[in-house]
Amino acid sequence: MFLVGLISWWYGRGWLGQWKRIAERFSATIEFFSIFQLLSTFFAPFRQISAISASDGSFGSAFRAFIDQLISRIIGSIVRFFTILFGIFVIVFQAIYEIVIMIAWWLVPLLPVAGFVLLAIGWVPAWM
Amino acid sequence: MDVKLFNWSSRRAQLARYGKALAPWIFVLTLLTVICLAFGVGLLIIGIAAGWALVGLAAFPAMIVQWYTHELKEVPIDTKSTTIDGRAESELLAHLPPKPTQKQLALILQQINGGHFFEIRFGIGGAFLKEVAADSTDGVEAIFKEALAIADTIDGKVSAGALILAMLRQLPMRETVLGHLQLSEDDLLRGVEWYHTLFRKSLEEKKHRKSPGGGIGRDWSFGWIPNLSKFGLNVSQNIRLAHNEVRTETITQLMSGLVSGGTIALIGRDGVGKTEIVYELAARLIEPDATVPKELWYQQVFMLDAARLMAVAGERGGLEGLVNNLLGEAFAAKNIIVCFDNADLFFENGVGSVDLTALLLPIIEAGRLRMILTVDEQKFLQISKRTPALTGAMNRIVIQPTDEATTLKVLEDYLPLVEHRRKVTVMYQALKEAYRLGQRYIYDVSMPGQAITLLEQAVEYAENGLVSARSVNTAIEKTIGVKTAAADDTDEREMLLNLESLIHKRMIGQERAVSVVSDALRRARSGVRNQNRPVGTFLFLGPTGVGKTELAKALAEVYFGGEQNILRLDMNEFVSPDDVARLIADGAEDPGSLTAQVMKQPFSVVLLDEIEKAHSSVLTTLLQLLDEGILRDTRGREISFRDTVVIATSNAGADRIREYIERGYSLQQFEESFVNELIGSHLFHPEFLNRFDEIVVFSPLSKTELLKVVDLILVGVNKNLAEQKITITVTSDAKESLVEAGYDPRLGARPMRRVVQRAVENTVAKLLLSNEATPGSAIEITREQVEAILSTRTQADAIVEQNKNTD
Repeated sequence: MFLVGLISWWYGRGWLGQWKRIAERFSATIEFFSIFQLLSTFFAPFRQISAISASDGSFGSAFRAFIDQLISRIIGSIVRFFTILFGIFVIVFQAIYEIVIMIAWWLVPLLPVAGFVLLAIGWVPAWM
Repeated sequence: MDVKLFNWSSRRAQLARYGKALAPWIFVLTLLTVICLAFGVGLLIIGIAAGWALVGLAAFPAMIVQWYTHELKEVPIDTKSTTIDGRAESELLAHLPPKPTQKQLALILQQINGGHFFEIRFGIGGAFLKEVAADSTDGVEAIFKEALAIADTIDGKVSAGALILAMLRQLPMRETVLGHLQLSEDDLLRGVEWYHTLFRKSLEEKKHRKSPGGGIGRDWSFGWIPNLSKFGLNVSQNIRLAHNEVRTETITQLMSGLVSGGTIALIGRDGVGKTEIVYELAARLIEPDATVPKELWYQQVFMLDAARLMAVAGERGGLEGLVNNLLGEAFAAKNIIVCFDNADLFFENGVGSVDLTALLLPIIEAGRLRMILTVDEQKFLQISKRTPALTGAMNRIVIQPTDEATTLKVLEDYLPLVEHRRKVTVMYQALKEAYRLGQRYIYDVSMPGQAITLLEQAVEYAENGLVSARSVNTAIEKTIGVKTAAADDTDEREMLLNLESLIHKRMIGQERAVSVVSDALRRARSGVRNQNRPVGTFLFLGPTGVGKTELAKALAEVYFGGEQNILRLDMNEFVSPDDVARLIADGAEDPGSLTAQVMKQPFSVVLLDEIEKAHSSVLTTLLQLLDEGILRDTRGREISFRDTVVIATSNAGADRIREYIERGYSLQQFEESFVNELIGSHLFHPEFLNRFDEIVVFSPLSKTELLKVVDLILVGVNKNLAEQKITITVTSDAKESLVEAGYDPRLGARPMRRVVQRAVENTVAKLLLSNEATPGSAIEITREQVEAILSTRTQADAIVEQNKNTD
């Protein structure tokens, strides 16, 4: 009864629960890299650096503020671009890891049988 | 047992039992997995194929650990189910046998967390229930049905608390049990909710991310804030994990006000939780959910403290420059909400405050920077009076004191902090008592601050680490000297039952007056009186020297523990309308005002002497006191008179009383008609007289009573002479002489004490000097000796006059 319960959970609710946990982990990674936040503010001035310089209304100061802001926006978009890129790399690697986990999940209950079969055969990897 | 109500073999019940059985083994299983894997791989590395078996075997404990962690530890309930096995909390379900008896249910409650919670917090649980529960399955079905019905009113889960309440409801003597515990069924239901909330919060906290919401790039679009970080307090970095679930509407109102920009003033009395609301807002914004407007996501709240800014700014101009700089930084950053806590300190000049109106007014009027000002309602009115433009430019949110249910929720949230810090456990009854007594006796703050203040004090009086209602009572008794608990002490019960005889030890006659006052006190201390009125309100009418004031003093001594517990006001000092202000003055301005004295000493006799001389405005002010037991002072605080005995005395109609007596009427015969005459005389308004519990008429003392007064005085004289080891006795005819000399129709028995003292002490002094009496001797004073001292009535009068002059 216990074993039946364990196996039926493993391939049923346990498997579905594992998907839910994977989704939560992906969500945490996306939030950690602020990906949606960075995309929505991609061209926003970085750290509002341009806001420090005040304009006195003259054409010269307005132009200087415009240039400041432009530089701030360019810096911001570069920083954000690389952060997003790095985040995407991490997510890709995480996806590969999670796929391995999900495949392994199916195989885990078979491990005792597989272990004893390999013991009976007596095979050991050559590199070991 | 009907399986439709409880199926022991159901899948969920089975899983719960697996979970219970596995719980102690999880660590061992985890260790076993690691060891099998480590040794298996190790063996494979050294070329031994047996390693495969170990690696394969490691899968088995690993799978069990996974199963336990994700399902068996807390088997989720099926809210649609109508059975106990579908709805009972996992821990409870795991313990249930196939056909439980009532006693077994009680024993289970002793073993599980929910049962312990109720045992400690409410004083009721398995330990009590097992003593009264039947050792049979009869009635269990009814208990389960009741528990399911209780669960339906909350969140569907049948927890230990729901089972306790269900079992209690089946008991015939439940009301007695609840009465003894000072609880109601509603309280226990609240307890069930409280436990469920704690359970849910503990699960949420386990899931809570350690990193702040928003991720690494959260603040990249917002500006640097070096000065704000240095001089302000970032509330968003000091949030609590468990959010308070009260005042959600206020927070929503605050958020919608901030979305539209500008300044919001949070107005309310000290202790209503203004600062706590700002903290709650900061928590909501930094960890936003769908209810938070997008515009406010990841906004941070910085609190500015007037004292700190003044300390760093140096001279005045420096402070204005600093605040200007900080606000400029907040504006440029675009993600800052500035909070001025106790904002009145920024709008007035004084110690610890500075007037920055000129600087802040244009910023507030412009409405481009999000700001929150927390300010006391009185101070807000003052600011509004001084600078209407300033308050006119703000959106106002008035924070009202919390009601009982909300206060209890706040206290429940606050408890983990207190319990962790002070290493105590607080009972639910203590929370209720803190609310009840805090509201009545803590004046300087409002709810929930009143209850929190009292609870903090009560922790000092915890017994064996447990804070109960008694601890709260003790805290009040020790800090402000108020007796609050119902009479349970044997001595006090005896005192209440024998109150009349105790009062008569120092007061002669006036049986009816003594009786009505005693009855009122007995009602108060047994808890059957109206709690929203003074303990008793009495109007004593009668001539001078008949014992009106003496009864008030006797009451203060016998009941309130000392004659010093009497607050005496001569109402002939309140003869103009302007005197009302003196009656209700703030204690800081006039410590002698009635309200200030009662604040300091709420458990007292309030004696309003010669009430007929007070101005009608003063009497009107006193109406609320007599009716509701409260009086508002000049600061608008409600001062409680609900533990006082209010006694007003008056000589009005004294001549009429004497006339009735001289015409041979007894007090019982003329009392009613005398009171009617008094109402008809318009000396007092009928609505004023109607406010008293009793109008008691004191009659002049008879000769027999006067002789008893002499006896009473002689007891006092003997006490004074005890040091000289001299005992005196006075013959009956000598006593009559003393009565004759000491009684004055105008002054009643008032001169009696001085006459007796003088006559007896003079006689004793002469005897001592002439060596006719020595220490240790017993002296009998005869009529002749008394008359030698008070030979004539004139001489007695002279003594009286002389004494008057001395006074």
